[in-house]
Amino acid sequence: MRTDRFSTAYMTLVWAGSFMASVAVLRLALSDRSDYAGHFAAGFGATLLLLAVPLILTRKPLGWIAVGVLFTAIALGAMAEQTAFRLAIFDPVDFATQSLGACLACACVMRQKPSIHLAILVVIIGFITLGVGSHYAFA
Amino acid sequence: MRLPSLIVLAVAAALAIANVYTTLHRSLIPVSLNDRIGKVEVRLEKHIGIDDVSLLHAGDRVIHIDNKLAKKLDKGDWLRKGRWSRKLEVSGKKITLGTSSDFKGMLVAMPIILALVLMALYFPRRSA
Repeated sequence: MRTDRFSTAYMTLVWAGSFMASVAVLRLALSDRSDYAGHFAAGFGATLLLLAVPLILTRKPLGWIAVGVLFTAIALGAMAEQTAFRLAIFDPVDFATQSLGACLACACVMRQKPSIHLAILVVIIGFITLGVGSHYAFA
Repeated sequence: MRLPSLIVLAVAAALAIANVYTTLHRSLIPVSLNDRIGKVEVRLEKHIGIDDVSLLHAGDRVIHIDNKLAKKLDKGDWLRKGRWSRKLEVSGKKITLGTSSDFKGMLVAMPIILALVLMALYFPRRSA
């Protein structure tokens, strides 16, 4: 049980660290474009929420299921960019940046052993990072 | 590394490269041109004046260009340049094309994010 809690805490740190490092890099390198960090965070968060479903339903590391979720998330992101978030044009940089967030989310989760605890963690981090995305996208 | 992980890494790499190239393309450096400008259109985005979209209508093409470059071009100007040339002739007057802050930022950010994806894929698995 102690090992389990430690590894969950360790994983949370790794995921949170890689997410925050990515957002920090985007904010620093592209300082006048907060929307890029917003798209990345939204792609990361939304994909984590999608990944929670197979994490509850399966027992083996997601592997190919994560690849399927990745392409689903990218397709849904394209639809969102084409419709709800299309103000001027379909921006391929916005689309690619949010899809990169989806890639990082899959990379964080796909090799982990699924469990209900992992799924709950993923949902919590997913909602938090979606909130971060909304902040940067609409700030 | 197993194939699913390789696919995720490959998709991330393709997206990162696409971001770098797309932001470079908006400088017009990779583009060849020999057309008259039909119009330079500006479409507003969420952050007006910052992420507005400038569209160059030249010949039968519509090209998304950097906002700073768009301010130097007018309807009716004749544009001439070779592919990958930094010299753009605008109705006989030569201007030197530069890259945008978006491109420079992507050159820094994309390799770092790719490295973070790779790190996330390689981190030890949570054991049973």
